[in-house]
Amino acid sequence: MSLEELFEEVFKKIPELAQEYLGGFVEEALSDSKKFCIEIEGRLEKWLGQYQRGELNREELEWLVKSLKSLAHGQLLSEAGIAQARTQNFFEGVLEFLIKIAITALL
Amino acid sequence: MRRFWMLLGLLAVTAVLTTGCVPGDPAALAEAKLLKVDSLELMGKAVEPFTDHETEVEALTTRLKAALADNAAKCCNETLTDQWRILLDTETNQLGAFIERWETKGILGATFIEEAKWVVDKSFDQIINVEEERCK
Repeated sequence: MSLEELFEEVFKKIPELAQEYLGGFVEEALSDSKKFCIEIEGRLEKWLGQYQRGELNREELEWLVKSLKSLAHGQLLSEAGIAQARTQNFFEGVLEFLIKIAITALL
Repeated sequence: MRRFWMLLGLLAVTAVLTTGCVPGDPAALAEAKLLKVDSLELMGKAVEPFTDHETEVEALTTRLKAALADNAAKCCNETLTDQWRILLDTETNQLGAFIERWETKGILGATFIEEAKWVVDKSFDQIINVEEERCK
């Protein structure tokens, strides 16, 4: 296999690897964010009901509501961390394939 | 020849990106899962006086701080370290603040505990999701 053919193989493989590691990520992130917002909304309604029924006092309700802000921050960090991990896996996949094909072609 | 240079460029970018990222750590993932279970279990005991569980709280806090320190020590691991900080900080109203509140108040209400456990459960899941993705 010539050097040109080797590169051709790698370039052909990249879309497949991108699909494998990164495919559907945006849709998943959007779906997760939407799910998170729905959960938060449901929980807020639950807490307000518990407060009205006297199961939570005002201080407890305020404590819990404040926790949602940091939970939302954590969600953003989580999405960023997952994106970083997937990108890393993609590049490692490309590198692994390149090394594999180079060894096959050159040895 | 143009493709050769493109591939070389891709390799350079790959090298930079992969060395800058943290590899998956199955031990850290396992410890995060264990810490979640143990933390939620201990939170459930906040219906009883804090002084009855001081030793358990101390032991758990030590493990939690160790997890934060381990993450902070890893290169290019800012997002996950920040997630641990949010969980343990006393100002963010998650686990760290819950323990502080338990210590201050002595005993906490059952409904409040259940709802705070939901928050901490979610926060641990956010951390575990990242660790799991890295370990794939």
